[in-house]
Amino acid sequence: MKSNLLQIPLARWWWTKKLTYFVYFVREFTGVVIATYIFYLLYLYAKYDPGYFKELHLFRPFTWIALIFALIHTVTWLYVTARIVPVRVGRVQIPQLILFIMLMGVWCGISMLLLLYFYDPIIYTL
Amino acid sequence: MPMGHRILNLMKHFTVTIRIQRYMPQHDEKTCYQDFKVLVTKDTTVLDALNMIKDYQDGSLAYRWSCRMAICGSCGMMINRKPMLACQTFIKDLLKNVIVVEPLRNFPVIKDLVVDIDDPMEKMRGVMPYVERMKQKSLEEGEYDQTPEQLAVFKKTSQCIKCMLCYAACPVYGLDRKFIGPAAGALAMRYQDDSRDETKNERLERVIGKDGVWNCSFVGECSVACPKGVDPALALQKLKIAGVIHSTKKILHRL
Repeated sequence: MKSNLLQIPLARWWWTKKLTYFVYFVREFTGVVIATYIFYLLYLYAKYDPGYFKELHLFRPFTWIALIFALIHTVTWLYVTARIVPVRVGRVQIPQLILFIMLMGVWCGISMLLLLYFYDPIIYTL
Repeated sequence: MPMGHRILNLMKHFTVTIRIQRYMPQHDEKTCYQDFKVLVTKDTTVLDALNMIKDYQDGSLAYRWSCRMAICGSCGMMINRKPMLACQTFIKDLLKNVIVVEPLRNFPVIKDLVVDIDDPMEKMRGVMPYVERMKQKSLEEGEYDQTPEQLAVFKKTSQCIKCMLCYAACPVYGLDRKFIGPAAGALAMRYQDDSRDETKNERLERVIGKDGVWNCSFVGECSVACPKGVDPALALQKLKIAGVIHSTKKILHRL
């Protein structure tokens, strides 16, 4: 008899009950901040010359905040990726922590390349 | 060996309190917690403790169980706020004097620890969980052969025992019951990876639409909770990739 079923809704603060849920919630929130920063950046590019960005009061602090949130988002995302993607070398499964460090290494390497070849203007403004 | 285990190994029996969330709709609309003291050994599982409670203390306690060996998926429940199989969870590994046992999260409760799992079962039926051919071979042509390598591709996802621990661990399903969910996604991936199946596009259309795999926001807890190593989180991400490729091909085909 379906009418006697007890429906227990998810608790309002469900994301505080477990560390992994909390990290997930923070990761999702960082996405909102990053998206806001991207819209802000698009607005600036539409209105000003990139060389003028560093003169704006909000640009530097907002960029640093967005960078920190982007780092949190990427690190937590790579950690979950390492947890769920099994990588084997022959018959040996690579431990999650090692896989996470490898993913971080690849990400840092690609980021350095992008920074050196494409983001010079932003480095000078920071 | 951890110190707690060494101490327990020296003790033949010890008493723990099993705190069970009770729901008896014929008596009360609200839930309550009831404590039971149980004498256990180092080999006692939570399921053994529940059986002892039902046999000797309270025969009205309701819970599902069957195989006792983590193959049927019946005894899924929240043990100390984590979705686990009661038959696979040893009391000594919990290392607590009070063990809280509750029905699986995110499911309507029928009675005590018995929950209604019709919704995810229906979702699993909806992902075409069978091998289908566009054209069947005649009997004279023989079987649909499969190499060990082809079997290995979907063997992991075929281990699902429908225990629903992944749904209990998934906050997305908890917030939106229309979400297809981890086990249904893993089941879809099992047949997508099966070399004998020829209806992959139709299955993909079913899982990538509204309330499909794109509702998954990559929490990853389903794979942590899974007792059989099915890795439903990975299956859902693979389905997303397959869905993007399929949709792109459809658009290009129309152009």
